[in-house]
Amino acid sequence: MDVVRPTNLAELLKELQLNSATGILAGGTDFLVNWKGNRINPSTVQSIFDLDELKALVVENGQLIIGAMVTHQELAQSPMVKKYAGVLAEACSLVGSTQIRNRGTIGGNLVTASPAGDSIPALWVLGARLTLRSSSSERKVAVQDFITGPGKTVLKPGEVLTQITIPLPDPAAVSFYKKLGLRQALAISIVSVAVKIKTVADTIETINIACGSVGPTVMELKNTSRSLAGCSLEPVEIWKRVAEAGMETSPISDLRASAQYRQKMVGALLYEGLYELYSQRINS
Amino acid sequence: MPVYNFTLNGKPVQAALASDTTLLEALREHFGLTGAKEGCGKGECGACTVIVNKKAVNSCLILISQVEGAEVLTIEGVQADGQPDPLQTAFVEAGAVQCGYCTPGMIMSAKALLMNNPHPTTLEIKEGIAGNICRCTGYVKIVEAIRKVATANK
Repeated sequence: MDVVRPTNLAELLKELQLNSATGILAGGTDFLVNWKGNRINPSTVQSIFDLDELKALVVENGQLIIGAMVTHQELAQSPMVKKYAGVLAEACSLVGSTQIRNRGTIGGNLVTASPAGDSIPALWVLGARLTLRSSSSERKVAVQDFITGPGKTVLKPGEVLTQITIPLPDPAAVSFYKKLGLRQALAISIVSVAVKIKTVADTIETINIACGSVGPTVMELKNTSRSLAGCSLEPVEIWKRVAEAGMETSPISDLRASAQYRQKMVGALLYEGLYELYSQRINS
Repeated sequence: MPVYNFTLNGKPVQAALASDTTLLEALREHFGLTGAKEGCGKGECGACTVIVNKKAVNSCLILISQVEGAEVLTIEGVQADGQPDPLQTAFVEAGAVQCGYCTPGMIMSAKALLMNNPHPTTLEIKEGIAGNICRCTGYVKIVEAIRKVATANK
């Protein structure tokens, strides 16, 4: 495999237009594992990890702008991301290991489009929009519309994901992320849950729930959200409404867990997160 | 064959290698630095951990063409003026080394941790080495060794 290093974005886009079969190598934590396993074998690949134009991390015009090549570790440790997109910082901090997070990028996580991709449920509840560019076009796609199935996105030949844009959150909203894996690190998630929630006193006003690893891509729990609106944070009331939340998902059974277990864990993780919120409230 | 220029253990070096050679292979086969090990080749064990631009990374998942202009530090480079790094001494004294296979990677992760966070809590130490698997020691003495160095840093 011949590794080409475009020196800037314009060069990359030109290469992609001339040769749409060329691969794109970002952090390499998915790409190189697949390449070594002979699941992918492009004859040339564009190495873009160091492209400065894809490393933005800035707040501008009421939006948090994240370049596709920003790493999970950078997002996990950024005070700006912790402040404006806490659930994303949390999700990224749980990816793999320090070594993986220092190379794995948010753009790569999205384009790999694994149903278990950790950052994706967080981006979902944050209402992220993705910028896709080619040498002759630029378009924005909502994260909810980007992934069409396991490993599949709406990227067209010649297009590259350059940026993720997140509107600054309602200061009254809080969020959390829960990941269940077979161990505390270096684990592909069995179930992950990202929640954005607004409360008035101790009652839920609105709640958005996005789950990973329980469907072909992120599953949004719309019915559970509706049933939780107006509900008190009191644990007994919460449990009534989240115990069966997993029924809104369609997990598969695989080597890590059965479908039934995953469905049960959706409710359990949701309960755990909401219980912690409740505890914080009554202790303050 | 392309030639890549970067800094290795403080010295400028060159490597004429195929662009898709992993950094791990380059270190072991081309530069003869066999401290980094291939435990899994997939980024799941940490035995190949080195420090690139001050960050701990799995060298099995980096290509030589990606380290052009970078600063690479391996276990062979942590000693200073012939003296072992305090981490190396602490590991030996604490009994944190059994078969030694995970040790180079473990020390590089610990070194990167302390470079970025000189006074980690015990939880932060465990998180810092969470990407390094040890099959022998049960990790307790490894964490103790790192904590000893962190405490001495104060």
